[in-house]
Amino acid sequence: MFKQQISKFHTSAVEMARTTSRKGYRLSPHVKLRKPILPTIDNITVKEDHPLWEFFSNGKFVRTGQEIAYTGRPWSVQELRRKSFEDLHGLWYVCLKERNRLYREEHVYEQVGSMRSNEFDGLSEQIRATMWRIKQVLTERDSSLLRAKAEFKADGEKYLQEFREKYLQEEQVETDEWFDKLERIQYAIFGIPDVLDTNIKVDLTFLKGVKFIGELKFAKFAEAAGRSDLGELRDIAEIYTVFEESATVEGVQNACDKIDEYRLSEITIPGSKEIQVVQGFIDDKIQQAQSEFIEEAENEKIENKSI
Amino acid sequence: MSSLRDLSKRYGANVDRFPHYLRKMFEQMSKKSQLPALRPDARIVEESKRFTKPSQWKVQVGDRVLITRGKLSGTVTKVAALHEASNRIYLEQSETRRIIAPQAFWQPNQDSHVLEYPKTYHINDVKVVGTIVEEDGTERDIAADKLVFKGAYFDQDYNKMMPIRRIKYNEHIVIPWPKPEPVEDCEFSTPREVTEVRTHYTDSIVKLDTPEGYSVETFRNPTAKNWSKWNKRYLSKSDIKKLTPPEMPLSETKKAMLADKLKIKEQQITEMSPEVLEFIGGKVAQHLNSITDPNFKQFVDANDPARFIAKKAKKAEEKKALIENNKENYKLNEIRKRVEQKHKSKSVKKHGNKIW
Amino acid sequence: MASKFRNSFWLKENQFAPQVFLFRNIESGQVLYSQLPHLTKYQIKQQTFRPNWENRLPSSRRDIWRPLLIAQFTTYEKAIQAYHGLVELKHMRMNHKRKEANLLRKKNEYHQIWYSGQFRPTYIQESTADLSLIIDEFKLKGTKIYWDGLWFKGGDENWNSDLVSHFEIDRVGGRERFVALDNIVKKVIKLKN
Repeated sequence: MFKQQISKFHTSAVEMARTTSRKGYRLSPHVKLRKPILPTIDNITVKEDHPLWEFFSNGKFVRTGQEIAYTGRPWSVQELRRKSFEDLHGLWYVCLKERNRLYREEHVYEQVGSMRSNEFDGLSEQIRATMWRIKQVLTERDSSLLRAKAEFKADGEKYLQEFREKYLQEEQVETDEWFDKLERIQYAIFGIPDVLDTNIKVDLTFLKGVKFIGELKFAKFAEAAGRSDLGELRDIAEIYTVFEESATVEGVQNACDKIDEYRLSEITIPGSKEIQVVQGFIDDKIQQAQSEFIEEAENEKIENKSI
Repeated sequence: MSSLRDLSKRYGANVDRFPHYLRKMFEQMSKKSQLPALRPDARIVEESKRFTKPSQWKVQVGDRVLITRGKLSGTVTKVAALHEASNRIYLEQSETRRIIAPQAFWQPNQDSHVLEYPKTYHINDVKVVGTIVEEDGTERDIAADKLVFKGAYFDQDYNKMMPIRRIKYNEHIVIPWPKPEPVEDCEFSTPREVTEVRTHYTDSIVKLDTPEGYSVETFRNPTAKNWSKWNKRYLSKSDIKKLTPPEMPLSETKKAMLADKLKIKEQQITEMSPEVLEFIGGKVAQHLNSITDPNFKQFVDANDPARFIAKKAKKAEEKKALIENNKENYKLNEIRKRVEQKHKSKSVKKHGNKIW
Repeated sequence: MASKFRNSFWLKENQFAPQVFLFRNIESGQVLYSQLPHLTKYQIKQQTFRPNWENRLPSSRRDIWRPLLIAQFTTYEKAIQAYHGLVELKHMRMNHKRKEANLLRKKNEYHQIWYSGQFRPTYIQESTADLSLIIDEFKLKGTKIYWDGLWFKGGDENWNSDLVSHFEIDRVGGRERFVALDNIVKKVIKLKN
């Protein structure tokens, strides 16, 4: 054993150092050893926007028991039911971040064997209650939507028929109340918003809604507009022109003028291409609106400059 | 981090699950291990049996009560606190026990180890005191022997539904709950106005206010353990193994089919064709040539296979040369041996064999 | 390349800079010195004296060795001298000055140098102290130290600011670690030429 160590010691580095005759080349054998240099965090600067700061509360290493003392309670399911998805999503992440902070601090206390870690765990459990309740509310919403869809499948047609009869029998429908009703039914059952935007995708439900509203308006106002000579609306393009106009006599009159022009071309759209055509109409409309907006903006700029 | 730490919670012995006699034994053991000053004077109740409702407690902090048991029976005092762990209460004026407090637990201005510490009281050892107004306007205190809770109302101070506390057999006499001390909002609480704002309205059966691509399944764990063992949504390999019955011995037709399959397998190409090789190589080369990270590029260049191939070839050459060299040396050695042998035999002849 | 001792002529001829590389073992905290930006079994064999239960013979696994620092000197002779000095100091700490070295170490509540598992932070701290001693002892002026994390540097009072200047190298992943070290060598060579 001893021999082996001696031979190991005579590695070339030490050997070279010993055999060199130059003065001051080798360390003195009586050199005084230095104390080990302890690392310090003073040498390190951490960016203020470092992402790991999210695990610290106000840049503090750990909070005291007083700082995490709480008097509140978790959000109840009833309170969360009133909040939109965006709010719940935000609240979820607020909770998650706070729990992560608490977990870290709890771990620190537990490492030194402090009972304070229980306090952090207690608050963490309270926050967890809020989090499972958020999930509960979202699940409720989802299942209620599914149920509503199933129910509408069963007797939705009947409901729409009733609405149609009521609308046709009502004498005065050019009122705000009826405009609102139309708007609501259009969004509630067919998902057609009042203002069209770029992310609208036409599907069968959308198409159904367009047909229902368009035919309803035409049935109500065709006689009053004096255009019962047109007969029934022939295809989706004609229905869409009525759907697009306002639910008034004038609106239907305008639509009928357009239909007259359209009928001259003698085109009819087959059922298989209806979705494509409606999507095209909507895209055109949006493009038109955008180009108008850009023109107006430029005009304003020019005016401002001239001033 | 958390999963490791929670191991003892998950797999450690849970005293609550033990039978009552074992539980008692453990309790006594833990009691013995504590300092006398820190031992509770009443038994700790298991969590499922602790009081949670005001109707169980029958009193709240601030209630006036009449003590009916012990040295102080007959005194009227107030409830100071509820001791939730033992289902008992602390009173403002109560019997005390003498404890020897370690210095670590000293209160400010304390200068002795000996401390008088209040005892807890059972709910049945006190009677709730209420006041009734006589017809002539004078007020009179009464102590309720028994209480009943009928009806409920929303209490603004407690901020929750509270049962109405009545005296049994005289249910028209109501003893109101004491007014609690107001609670201030802490750092973690949300202002009441914010919680009350309604931002969600259900107005369509076609879509919710959720973003595109959202579904409730996204926040559910598909391999969650709480799914029933018999109704799993995703089967693991071992599950499939358990659920499939053992195979029956093969029939003649099946054996023939398997032989056919083996034949087909043997006929199939196992080596890559040069076109495929070139295609894959091209893709890899394209990726390696388009690296932008300078450090990684240097790393890739340093590991060029061409270098290793050259190194390998050089090594093989050296080895070959060494073998040839060895062969030559072997021949030379043989000649030398032969010559030496000859020489030796000559010398032996000269001097004759020596026998030791 | 780093499989035996290299003299100053060899280093110069093979385009290496006058540097000494310190590597730390992330499992045990042990430190090895190398003349080149690589580690081989040679360094382990050369610099492990009297291994025991808390200073084991380290493994040569590449992934558990990370650079601790790179000490850069003005001439090749000085680099060789510092390298010799470091190895010899390590030998002293493990052999005839073992007791003296043990007194200087920071101890825990059990008067041991344990930290966690097999990790002993004291070896890194000792090697940095040795480096500062060598620089002062030989008066190696113009030394530059490139740290992989300034945390290990410790307080400024441990270093003679007339002789040494400190820098931090970019933190890189395990794969590009030796590439980064090679780059430092090349940079120095370029400046010299």
